Amino acid sequence: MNFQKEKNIVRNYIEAFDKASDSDLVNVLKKYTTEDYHWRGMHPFYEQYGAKDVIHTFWQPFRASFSPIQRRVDIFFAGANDCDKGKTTWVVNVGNFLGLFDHNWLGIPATGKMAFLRYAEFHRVNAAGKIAETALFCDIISIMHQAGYYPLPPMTGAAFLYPGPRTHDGLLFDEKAHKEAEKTMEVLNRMIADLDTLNTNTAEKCPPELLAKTWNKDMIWYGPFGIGASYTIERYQHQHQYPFRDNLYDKVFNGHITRFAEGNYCGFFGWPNLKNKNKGGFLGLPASKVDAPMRVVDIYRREGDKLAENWVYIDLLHYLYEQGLDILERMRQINRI
Amino acid sequence: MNNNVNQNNKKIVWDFWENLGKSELGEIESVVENAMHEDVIWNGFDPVNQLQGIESFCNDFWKPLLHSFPDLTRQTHIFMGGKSNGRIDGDTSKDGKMWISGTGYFNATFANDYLNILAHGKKVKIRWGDFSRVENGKIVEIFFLLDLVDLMQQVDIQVLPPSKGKDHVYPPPKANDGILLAAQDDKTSEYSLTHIRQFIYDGLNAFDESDLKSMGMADYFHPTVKWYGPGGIGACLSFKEFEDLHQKPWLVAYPDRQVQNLNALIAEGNYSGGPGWAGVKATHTGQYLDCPATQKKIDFNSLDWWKREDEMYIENWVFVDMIHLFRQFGIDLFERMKATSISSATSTSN
Repeated sequence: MNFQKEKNIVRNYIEAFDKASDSDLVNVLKKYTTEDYHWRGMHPFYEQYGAKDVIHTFWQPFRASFSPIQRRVDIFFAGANDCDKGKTTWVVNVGNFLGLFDHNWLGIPATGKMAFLRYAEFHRVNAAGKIAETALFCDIISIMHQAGYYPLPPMTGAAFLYPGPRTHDGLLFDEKAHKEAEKTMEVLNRMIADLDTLNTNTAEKCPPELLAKTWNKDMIWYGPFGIGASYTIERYQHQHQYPFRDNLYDKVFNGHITRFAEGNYCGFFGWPNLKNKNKGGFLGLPASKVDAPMRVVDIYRREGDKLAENWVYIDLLHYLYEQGLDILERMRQINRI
Repeated sequence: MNNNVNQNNKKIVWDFWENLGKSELGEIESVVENAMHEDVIWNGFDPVNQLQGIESFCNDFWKPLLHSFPDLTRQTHIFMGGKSNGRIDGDTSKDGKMWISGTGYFNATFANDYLNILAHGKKVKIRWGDFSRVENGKIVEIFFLLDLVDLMQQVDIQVLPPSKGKDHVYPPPKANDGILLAAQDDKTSEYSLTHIRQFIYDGLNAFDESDLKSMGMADYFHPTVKWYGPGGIGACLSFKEFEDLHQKPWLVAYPDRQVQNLNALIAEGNYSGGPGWAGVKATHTGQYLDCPATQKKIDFNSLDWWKREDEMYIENWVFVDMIHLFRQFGIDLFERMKATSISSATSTSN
């Protein structure tokens, strides 16, 4: 089993799309996608169908604000979807869009300086070699942070421009032995199962030993802006796991749209992955009875038989919006844009 | 008669502040005893809140403040006094007490942590506001706020999202005429008190929950009014800014807000001011700053001073205890602050 064909299609698509002129974007996207192309974006872009709406909703305004844009891919891999018994094939690329932030975007004032938009882009490539589905997660709050308009209470973790894999081997353009992917998927599923077991007993504080079964001691968790990044199991627990576990309740997990591995990389996204209610405290929010959906991407790097690094995207703007907090509206008010 | 009492009260409070500033640690109690009634009630900022008696004032407020800010000096921007008429019904038989008030900065080096706010060893300017009731030559009751959110911002702790207004703008009156040590013309003072009562109870309270114009604010606030708001809201430097940056978002969050009987409302010369503990009540039904609506009943603790020029207000100095406000939402801003400190990460045990 290999995914060279699908990976090459996505690589060709990226190359053609990124160098296309504004007026060609729709045509290029059309060429690589199915007619009923389904695109998932973050708040305020949401779900779009067909090349035209996708370009109009996300790409045109984004390119107008950040040109010229450089796609800096740190991680690239593909795999058979574990959620549908391998029926579909997905390709993901993860990194940053670098651009000159020359024009206001979503009410965030332009800086005239370079800015990095963290992103993770998943594509489902069908048997005919067309992209049928895409999910594009990006970190809008990080752009607010870079522009000096960070809208939330202090982060528990650290906020900076996150690097790619420590090992600099995240671009899996070549074929990888299938047994490596199986190992990676095995660790990921074991980690998820450990946490599920713990979740059935919510009174229990997660002991670091439990995480140490599937995580390196010096793990790194690159979280979304709003939470920030953490290093080592102990600090990850204090800066993200405990606030998340202690302050959110009634968590219901929906599973993922896709979850796959290649070599020692794996990842997934959900729509939403889970719903939860806020006891008060998480992201500085007051208690709320709203069942708020969380759309999440996780990308992992395995080292030996443990997970070593984790790049995370959460649609926090959507999560907050569902609880009655419109960050973008506030951003527009502050900046009178 | 009132004017004589007022002059005498001003001297008591002014001298007290001067003497307190000059006193060595061991002299504080005697200076305070000299000026305050032994059962003085001090109504302060969250999390210190209410203190009773001279000993508590010294040990729970003033000495801890001096420990954190040892070289603290008081810079006074406004100093005034008068007889209060702060009830909605204007019944001075139930009010009518004599008050002295001031506001300005404490200038100091932030030498030691204050209320877990991490000291950075550099200069800060802490906004203070004080309303003291004087009876028989002694201070018997105080309403007092420090702007702690503004202080946190000065040491780069952002517990609230970026302000819509301009941060760290809290100047003395434009005309630099706010220190009313001399007796003022009685007629002017009386007119100022009548005028501010009309503004608050006929204007602000007339809001129909949809149209800002229903309050007739434009009849009271000069087009270039300077509204010096608290940390987290910031200053608005024109009437339009005031409406756009503060009043609209405020009324979206608290459309049913009503000014209550105030703890006091006084005027002297062209200045007026008052403290209101739960001086405004409202229901939190709309998004405010980074907090969605909680539907909770909210009390606002605030202090205000206004400068009148003919029929219009040209400046308004405003304190709102934002920490007290957010606590009512169920949010502890001091908990938020901990995320910025290493100690919170390492002190919690597994």
